[in-house]
Amino acid sequence: MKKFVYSAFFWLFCSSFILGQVKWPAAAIPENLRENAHAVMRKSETFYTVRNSGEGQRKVHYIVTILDQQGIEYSTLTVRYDKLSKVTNIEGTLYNTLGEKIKTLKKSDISDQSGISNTNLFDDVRYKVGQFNYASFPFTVEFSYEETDRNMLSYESWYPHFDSENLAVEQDFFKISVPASLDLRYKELNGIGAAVTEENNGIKSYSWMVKNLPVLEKEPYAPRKIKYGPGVITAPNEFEVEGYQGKMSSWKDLGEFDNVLCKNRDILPEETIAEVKQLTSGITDPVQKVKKLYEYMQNKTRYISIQLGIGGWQPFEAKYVAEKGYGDCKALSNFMKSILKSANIESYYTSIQAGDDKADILTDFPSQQFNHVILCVPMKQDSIWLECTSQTNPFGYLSDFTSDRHALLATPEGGKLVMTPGYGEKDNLQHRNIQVVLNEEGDAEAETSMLFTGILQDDYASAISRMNDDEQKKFMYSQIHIPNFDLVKFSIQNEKKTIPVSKVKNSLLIRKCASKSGTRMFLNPNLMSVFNQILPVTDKSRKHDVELINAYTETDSVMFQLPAKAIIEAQPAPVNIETAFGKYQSEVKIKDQKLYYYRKFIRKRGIFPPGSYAELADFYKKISKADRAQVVMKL
Amino acid sequence: MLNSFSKATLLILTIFIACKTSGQSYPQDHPLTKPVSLEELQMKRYEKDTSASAVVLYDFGRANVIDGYGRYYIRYEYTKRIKIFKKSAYSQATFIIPAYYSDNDNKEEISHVKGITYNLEDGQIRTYKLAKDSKFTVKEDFHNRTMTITLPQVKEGSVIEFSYVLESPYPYRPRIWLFQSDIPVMKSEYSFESPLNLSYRIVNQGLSYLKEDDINEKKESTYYYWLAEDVPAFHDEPYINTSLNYLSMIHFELAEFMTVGMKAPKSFSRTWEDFDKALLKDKYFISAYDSALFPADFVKSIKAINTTDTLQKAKAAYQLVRQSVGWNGEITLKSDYSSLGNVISNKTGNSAEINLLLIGLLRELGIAANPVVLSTRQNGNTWQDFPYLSRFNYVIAQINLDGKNILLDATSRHLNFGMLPAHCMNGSARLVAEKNSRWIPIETQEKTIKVFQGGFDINVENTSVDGAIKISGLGYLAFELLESYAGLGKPKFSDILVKSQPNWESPVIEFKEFEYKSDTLTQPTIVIQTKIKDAFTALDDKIFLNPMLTEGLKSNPLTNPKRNYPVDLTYLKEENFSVSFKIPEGYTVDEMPKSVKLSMPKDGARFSYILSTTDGIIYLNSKIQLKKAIYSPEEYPFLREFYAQIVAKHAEQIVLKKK
Repeated sequence: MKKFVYSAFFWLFCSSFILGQVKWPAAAIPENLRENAHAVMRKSETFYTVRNSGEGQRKVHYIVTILDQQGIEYSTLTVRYDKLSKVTNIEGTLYNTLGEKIKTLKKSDISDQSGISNTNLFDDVRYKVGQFNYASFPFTVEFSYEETDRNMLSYESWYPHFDSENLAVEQDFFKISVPASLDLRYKELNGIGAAVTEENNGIKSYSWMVKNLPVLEKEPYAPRKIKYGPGVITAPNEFEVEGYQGKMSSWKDLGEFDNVLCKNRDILPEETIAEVKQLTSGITDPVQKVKKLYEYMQNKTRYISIQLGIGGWQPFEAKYVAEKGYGDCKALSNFMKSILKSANIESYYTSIQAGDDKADILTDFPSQQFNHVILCVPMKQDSIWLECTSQTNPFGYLSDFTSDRHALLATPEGGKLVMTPGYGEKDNLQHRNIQVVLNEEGDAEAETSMLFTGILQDDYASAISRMNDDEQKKFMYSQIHIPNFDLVKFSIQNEKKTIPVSKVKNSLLIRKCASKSGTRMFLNPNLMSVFNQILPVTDKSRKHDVELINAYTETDSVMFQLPAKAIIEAQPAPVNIETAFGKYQSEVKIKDQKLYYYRKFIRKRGIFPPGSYAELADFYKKISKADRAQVVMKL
Repeated sequence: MLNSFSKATLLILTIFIACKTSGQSYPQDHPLTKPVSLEELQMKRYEKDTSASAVVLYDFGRANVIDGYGRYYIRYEYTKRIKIFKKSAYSQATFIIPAYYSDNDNKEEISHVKGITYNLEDGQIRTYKLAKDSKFTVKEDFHNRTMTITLPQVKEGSVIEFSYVLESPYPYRPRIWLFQSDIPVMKSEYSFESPLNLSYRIVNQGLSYLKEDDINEKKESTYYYWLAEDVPAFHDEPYINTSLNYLSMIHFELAEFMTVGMKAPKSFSRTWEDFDKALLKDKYFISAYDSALFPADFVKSIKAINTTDTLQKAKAAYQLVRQSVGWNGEITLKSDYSSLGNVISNKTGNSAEINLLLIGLLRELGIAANPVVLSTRQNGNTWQDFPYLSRFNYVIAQINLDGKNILLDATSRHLNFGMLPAHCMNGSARLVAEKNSRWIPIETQEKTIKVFQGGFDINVENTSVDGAIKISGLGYLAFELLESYAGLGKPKFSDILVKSQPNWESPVIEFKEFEYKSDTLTQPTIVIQTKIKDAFTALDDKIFLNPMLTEGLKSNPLTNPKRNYPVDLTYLKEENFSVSFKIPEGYTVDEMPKSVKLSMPKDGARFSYILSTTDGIIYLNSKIQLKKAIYSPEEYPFLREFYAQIVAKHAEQIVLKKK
C-alpha cells in the first residue's frame, strides 16, 4: 500500500514537473517536521534594509503549508502597519496538496482593519489582511509584501520559531543591510548560528539561516527568556523618528533620548501648582510629601491610553493630563514627575518591561525593550517607585507587574539601568487561622481569619477596588476550595503599604467537612490550603532549566473542636521536607478533644538546572500527598 | 425534552396593538435641559442597590423615522446621565458609538456629540466639556466605523452626561433599546415615531420594569413611548445560555411599507408566510444551489450515488457533503456566494453553505428536503409570535423518512446521521417550505454519557490499585471526544489525558474507535492499564479506600446559593461509574458506605450509589442522571442540594481490616 502511494505521488510529481507548474507539493515535507505540527514553513525570506537613520524597508516572502484545521491561521497574511509605516505590493498564491497553483490573491481578497489593542482607547495600528477562502488539507500559500518603516527606534527582530507549538520550519532566512557608516548592533539568542557578513559599496549585510526546525515541545517551568526560541534581535546605533534624533549604543544614550522626548513637557497649569503648594505645606518629611502628591495624582486622574505616531514613545504634556484628568503610562508618569518637580522633588522617568510573565530585558544589549513607564523617586535611602496608571495602587508598591527586573532611569546625566525591588518569601505571605466546630454528622462551622501580603494580596486588593459586594461574594466563593459550603459572612480589608496587606475574615457552614461512613469519620485537617500543582513527568529528558518566578510563604493553623464521642483511630505522621525549591512542614496534634493542624510551606524562587525538574516534581507530589492525608475517627 | 416553560417565565413578550391610543403628553423637548442638580452631585449611593459602583440617572433615546423625499431614514437622539460612585466605574466614562457604512451615499452619520463632566469642587458645581481632541473615529473595517469618546476629569462623585445624534439610512431594522445595563438604571425612556405608511413590529422583552408604555396615533405618524424605572444591573451567571434572552429591551423590525400609487402595502415579513417566501426567494439561500455550476468531479460523485433506498441515498448525500466541504467555523443563515459551486471548489464553507448544499443535493436525489432555520444558543431565542428574520442565524436540513422527521447538520463529520451539534439546541426551529411551513421542536434523544469501568487489585505494598480502566463516551460525549481527538491529534490528546491523571503509574493507553472510519458515530473508548498510586491510605492494620478513586464529584459546581436565571445544561447527562476491587489476601471488610438512591422532586434527576461484596470482591456502581436539559430558578435549590449529596457520598470510604 505504501509503495502504491509513493508511486502515485511520484507519477503526479513527474507529470506536473513536465508541465512546469508544481512548486510546493505537501508530500515533499520531511516526516520529522510533520510531527505535532499544524503548519510547516517551507521557505521564508526576510530582508530588512536600513536606508538611513530615519527609514528602513522590509521585504517579506514566505511559503507555508497548512496541514490541518488547527493550522488554518497561517493561511492568512496579516501585516501590521501604522502612521509611521506603509505596506505595498502584497501578493499571494494558493497551491493545492500537490503543489499546483490554484489562484492568486486579488485586491478584493485583501481587507484593511483597525488593530486597536484592548488596552488602548485609540491608536493608529492597522492590519492588511490577505485571505484565501480555502481548506482542502494539506494546502500551501505563498505571500510576499513590502513595507517602509519610519519608526526606527527598533529594527527587525527575527524568531523563526516564534510559534513553536504549531509551526515547524523547513527553511527561514533573514538578512539585514545597513549603511556602513551607521553599522548595526545585534544579539544572537538561544543557540542560533553565527551571522554571515559582507560589505559592498558602503553597505554592510548580516544574514542568518535556519533549516529543519521541528515543532518544539513546551516544557513546564521553562525559563521565560527562551520562550521565543532561537533568533536575533537587532538595534540601531543612531536613529531618527518624526524629526527627533537619538542614539542607543549605550543605555546612557537611550535614556538621553527619553529626556529629549520629555523636554518642556512638564509645565503645569497655575491651578495645579497652587494645589501642590497647598497640599505639601507643613510637610517636612520628603517621603510623606511624595506620598501625599502620589495620592493627589491618583485621585485626579485615570488611565486612558492613546498612542499615535511618535506618541507611542513621547508622553502627552503635563498640561494635557491636568486638563483632561487622564493619560497613559508615559503621560501620567510625566505628569507625576512634573508635580514632584513643582514641589522641588527630583524624580526619573523610568522605562520598563512590564508583565508578570515577562523575562528580564537583555541588559548587555541597549535597545528599546520596554513596554511601560513608571516613575522612580530617588531618596536618601531606598528609592520610591511609583506606578502612575493605577488609581488604587498602594504608594511605592510595584506588584509582580514591574518588580524584580531591570529598568532604565532617564536621569539628567542620561540613562541608568537599575533593578526594581523584588518581593521575596517574607514579603509574599498567606496566613490562615481557622477555628472549626465539628459535629457528629461531619458538618461544621468554621471561622477563618486570613492575612495576605505582597503579590498574594493582589487579587483581594483588586476585589475591593473593582467589585461590588455581590461580585466580592462570588469572588470569595471562587477562592475557597471546600466541596460543600455556604459563606455566611465575609469581610475583606486592605492596608495600603509598600508591602500591602489584605485581611480576610469568613464564617462558613460546611456540609460533610468530615466524610462519614458507618461509624467512622474521615477528616482532612488541611481545610483550605491543599496544594494542587502536580507536574507532569515524562520519560523524555529535560532540556531547559527550571525557573520558579515567585517566592512565598504559606502558614495554616487550624483548630477543630471534635465531637465528644470521637476517638482518633488514625492520624497522619508529621511531614518535614526540605529541598532547594523550598520547605514544607505539616503536623497534627490532639489535645483535650481538640485537633490542631499546622502547616508551613515556603516556596523559593530561582533558576535551577534541567536535572532538578524531577526533584521539583517529586517535591510537589509529596506536598500534594501530605496535604491530602486524613484523620480517621471512630464514633 | 427542553423545558420551554421555564424559559417562558422569564421571557415575557408583548406586542403593541396599533389601535390603542392615549391622551397622555410626552416630553417633546430635550429631556436634559434640566441641569445637573446639587442633589445628584451629592448622592453617595443608590439606595436600591447600595453596592453599585455607578448608576444611570437617566437614559433617554428617541428615534424618528423620517421621509426624506421618498428616501426614509431614521434620526436617533441619545442622552445618558451617569453618577459615578467608585473608581471601578471609570470605564463608564468611555463611550463607543458604532456606525455602519455601505458607501458614501449610504452610511450612518454621527453628529452633535457632546459630553460634560460635572464635579462638585469646594461646594461649587464645575463643568468640564468634552474637547474635540477626545473624539476618535475608527474605520474598524470596510463596513464598520466607530466613534470613541472619553470624558475629562472623571472622579468619584462625578455626574457625567453624554449625548449624540445618529442618522441612519437603514429603516428596515431600527436599533434596539436596552433598558438594562451592567450598572443599575434609575430611569430609562425611549420613544419611536414613524410615518403612518410604515409599520413596525415591536417586541419588548423583560417587561417587569416598565412603568409606562403607550401608542399614540397622530395625524401623520405613529408614536410609541416607553418608560422604565429602577432597572437592576444585569449580572451574568454560569450555565446560562445567553444573557440576550434575559435583558430588558425592545426590538424593532419593519413590517410593512405603503406609498402613493401602491395597490397593496409591501410586506417585510409581516407574517410567517411572508417570512418563508422571502427566504425561499433569496439568492443567498436555497436558490444558491445550482448544480449546473458545480465542479465536474462533484457532479460525478453525485451521479455515483446509485442506491434506490431513500435512507441509504440520504446517508450517501450527507456523507458526500461532509467529505467535500469542511466547516470554516462560521455560523450563518445564508451563503456568502450566490452559487454554492464556489464552496465546493474552496472545499470549505460556512454553516449555511454546507447545509444548503446538503438540502439541494437531497432534493436533486429526489428526496423532499427542507431548510429549517433557527437561532443558535449564543444568539438567543426566536419569538414564535413575531416573524423576525434577524433573530435567525442558522439553517439545517430536514427530511421525512417513514413519517419521521430527521434533522441533519453536515458541519462535522463526527455527527451521527440525525444528530445536531450543541449550538443548535435552542428549543424550536422553523421549517421553511413552499407548503406547510411550520415550527418544529429541536429535540434530541441523544444524551451525553460517560461510562467508567474498572477492575482492580489492591496492592498493599505499593499503596496502589492495579488494573484496567475503560472510559467510554456515548452520545454527545462521543462526539466531543472524537472532535477533540481529531483536532489535537493522538499525541497531544494522550498527553493531556496522562497529565490530568498524575497518580497513574506508567499507564499503557489504547484508543479504540477513535480513528474516523464511517459516517456513524462510534463509541470511542480509552483502555488504560495502570497502577493508581496513593489510591488509599494504609494505617496499621487498616486500609481506607475511596472507591470513587479520583473520579468522584469533588465539589459542588453550583456554588452560589441563589439563582436568578435557569441552569441550562444543553442536553441530558449521565455518568456511570462501575468498578470492582479484589479484597487483598488476609483482609476483610470492616465497614462500607451505605448504598443510596435519591432523586430530585418530580424525578428531575437521579443518583444511585450501590456497594456490594461477593466472593471477596467489592462492587461499586455510581450513577448520576440529569433528566432535564434546563432547570428553572425554582428548581435550583433542589439541584444544588442534589449535587451536595453526591459530593458527600462520593467522599465516603471503605475500611478494610486485617483478619
